[in-house]
Amino acid sequence: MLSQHDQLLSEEHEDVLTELINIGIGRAAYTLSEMVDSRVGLQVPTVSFAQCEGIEKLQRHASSEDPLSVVLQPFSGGVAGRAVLVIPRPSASRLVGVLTGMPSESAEIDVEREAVLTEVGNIIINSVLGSLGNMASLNLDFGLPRYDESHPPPLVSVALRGSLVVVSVLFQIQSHAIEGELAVMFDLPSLGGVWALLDPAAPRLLPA
Amino acid sequence: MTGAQMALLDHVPNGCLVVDVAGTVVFWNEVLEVWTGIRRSAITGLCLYDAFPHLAAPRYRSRIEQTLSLGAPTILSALLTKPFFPRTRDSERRRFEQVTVTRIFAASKSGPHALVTMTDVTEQHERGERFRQESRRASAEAEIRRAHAANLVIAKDLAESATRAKSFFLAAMSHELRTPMSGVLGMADVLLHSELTPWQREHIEVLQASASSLLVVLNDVLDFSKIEAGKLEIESIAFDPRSVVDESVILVAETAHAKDLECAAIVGPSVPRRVVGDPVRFRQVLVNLLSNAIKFTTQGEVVVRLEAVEEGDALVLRCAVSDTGAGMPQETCAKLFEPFTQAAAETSRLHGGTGLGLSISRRLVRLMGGDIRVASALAHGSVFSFEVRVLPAPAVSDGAKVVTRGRERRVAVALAHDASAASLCAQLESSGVEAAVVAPEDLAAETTREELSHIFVDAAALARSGLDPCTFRGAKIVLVTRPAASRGSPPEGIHALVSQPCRITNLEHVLGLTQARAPGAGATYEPLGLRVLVAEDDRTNQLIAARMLTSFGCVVQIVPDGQAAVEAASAEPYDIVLMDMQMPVMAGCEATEELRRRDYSGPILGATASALAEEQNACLQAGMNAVLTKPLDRRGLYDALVHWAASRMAA
Repeated sequence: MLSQHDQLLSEEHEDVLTELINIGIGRAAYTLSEMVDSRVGLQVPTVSFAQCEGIEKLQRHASSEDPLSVVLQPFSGGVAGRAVLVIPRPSASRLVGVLTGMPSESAEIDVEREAVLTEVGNIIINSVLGSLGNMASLNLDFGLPRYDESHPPPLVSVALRGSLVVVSVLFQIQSHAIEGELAVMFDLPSLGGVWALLDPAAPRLLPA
Repeated sequence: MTGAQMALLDHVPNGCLVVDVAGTVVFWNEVLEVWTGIRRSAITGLCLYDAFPHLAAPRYRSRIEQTLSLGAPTILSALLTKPFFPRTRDSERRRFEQVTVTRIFAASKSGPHALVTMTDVTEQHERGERFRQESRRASAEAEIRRAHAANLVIAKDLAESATRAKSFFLAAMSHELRTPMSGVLGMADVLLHSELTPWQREHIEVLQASASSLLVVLNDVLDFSKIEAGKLEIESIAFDPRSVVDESVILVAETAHAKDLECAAIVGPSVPRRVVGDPVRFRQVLVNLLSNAIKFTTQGEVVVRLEAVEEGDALVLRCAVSDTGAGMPQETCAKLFEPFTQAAAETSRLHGGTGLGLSISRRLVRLMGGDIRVASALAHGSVFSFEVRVLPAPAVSDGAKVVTRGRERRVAVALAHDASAASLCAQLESSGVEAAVVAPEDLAAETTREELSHIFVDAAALARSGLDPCTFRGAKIVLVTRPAASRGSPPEGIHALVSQPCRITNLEHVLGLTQARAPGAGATYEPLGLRVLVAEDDRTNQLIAARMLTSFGCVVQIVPDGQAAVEAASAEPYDIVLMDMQMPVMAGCEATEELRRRDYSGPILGATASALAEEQNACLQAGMNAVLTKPLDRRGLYDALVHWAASRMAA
């Protein structure tokens, strides 16, 4: 399956997406590091193509035994898709502890902690999608972020129908033993607006 | 904002305000009026960040502005956000708000506006806080409970190890006490077999009886400690359950007869002559029950009944000891098998005993795969029954011979006591003789009608039958007496005297089925003429062994240690080597190993005061043929000598 679609997703396409997301991720990481007052490490984003039923393979936390905290924010407009923040629950619990100063007595996430995680997801996702929208001059409509818990694999329930391009990046806050993954899943047919950026006549990436 | 939009937001149960891109408040809903006490008219048109400077912080202002420019909603969670506005009512209470900022286009011509919605989640937070406190307390309590449980485990371990230590101490002490006791008993035995005046004999018999009682108590304590320490092992060796029952009854018969009690064993035909199990422990349980029954019965009888039932590959020996004693109430029966429990507090004072006997019996029986129970009725006596699991063993060849030879004989049994008659009849039947119980009155008529070889009759029955032994011709009359009266020559007209209860071998001898191995009731021994080497360092034990062996007609050589034993036996072979375990220079096992290394093939019998199976196994491993337990029992030693000397001949 992948090889067939590799042709649809050229190296240039991948580069564009990676760059768009990378800038946003950089901002998000900065915001997060300010919130937790610690350095946030990022890996290079990976771009992959998937059918929604194969999506769980893309999730590197799929191998984790822990339940996953998931913050999901849909977007539509110039390009459609969903942004997803996935944090294994022990990490999520520690993250809430760091942010609120409330000791994490257990890995359980109650409603108030869910709200904190939702906010974190919201900040990170807005940073990423905001820069994407700005730079590509895409008019995006955003849904409200929503918190969910899932056992691995996490993304089957949130995946869009049909073909997806997934840009995902792993992050970690080493000083607090927190790790997570941010993935932006684009609905393939809606990526036309992004590919238009490859047109030499189009303006280059706009400054943020 | 249109009037309709404002009306709509006035009805939302959340605090709502709308600002434009410059931060000017364009709407303030009724809920906010209530919360803050600030009227809409007073705030509208003011800059939010001027009116409430804390909202100018980037955390609020930048994110509101981001929503305005980007369109992506902003979420401010209650735990990370202070309430936007101070409350007038209930101002002491700390408030928690979840804030959502979304971009709206209030009118077609106007620019984007930010709708800020505040949801009061104070109640939710307080509930959560209570829950968190509750779970903190619960987990603290759980931690305390865990610690308690851990302490309990430690305490339990300590208690158990204390119990084990106590058991080991008792076992060790009992062992230490048994060794000098064997000296006392052995010397008493030696003295009793010497020339004594009646006065001396009487005193030494008291000495022997007291020492024996003490040994019983020691053995009880030792057994109990071994069971407690998990050290007691059940053996699997071939034995004849009938003879175990007979021996047990004979052992206690004298006590029973002294109280004028009848004592009999009735062994069912289903009981085989050979089974594989632990004869010593079986006998121990039986003797314990018999002794108790005799102890607590003042008149009447004590009867043992033994049956065997097949259960798959195994055999179950069912044994019941019934008495005609006082009986016990139900509640006493229930606690009878607990350690240190006796039916009544005064029992110990009246009858002595450790109160361990039944507890030990129950544990032994359970170790042998069965259980023990009691049925009792006040004034009607008690029945203690138990079963043990054994395995069938191949029949002994000479046992079969007895049966074929015995079939030619028919005997009549006429005894005053019914159970004794039944018991004797069963014994005779098991020897292959056709035996029938006959009422004393019918005896005379029976002798004329039937071709009888022997008549077993006791004095009372003989008197009632009207037979005169001096004139009677035909069947041989065997007079059944109590053991004390069975020694000496039979009176005129009487073929033989047998004691009731009687050893089966003795019966067979009287019937002419076997050659006498030991005449009488086993009080004297046929000279063996064996050359026996005794390795023993203790002076007392040397003396006991020498006296006993000499009385068996053996030639005895005594050496004080294992090294000397090796040298003596290597120089000239002995018929039997009797080897002590603990000796200076070279211990028994070491000496045995050395002898076997030198190809010494004669029988070596170990003698140990330890009844522990491990030590006995060590002896056998070292190359000994068998192990005898000290104090040496005269009969046991004699039988062992006969057995191993015979095996040597056969080899």
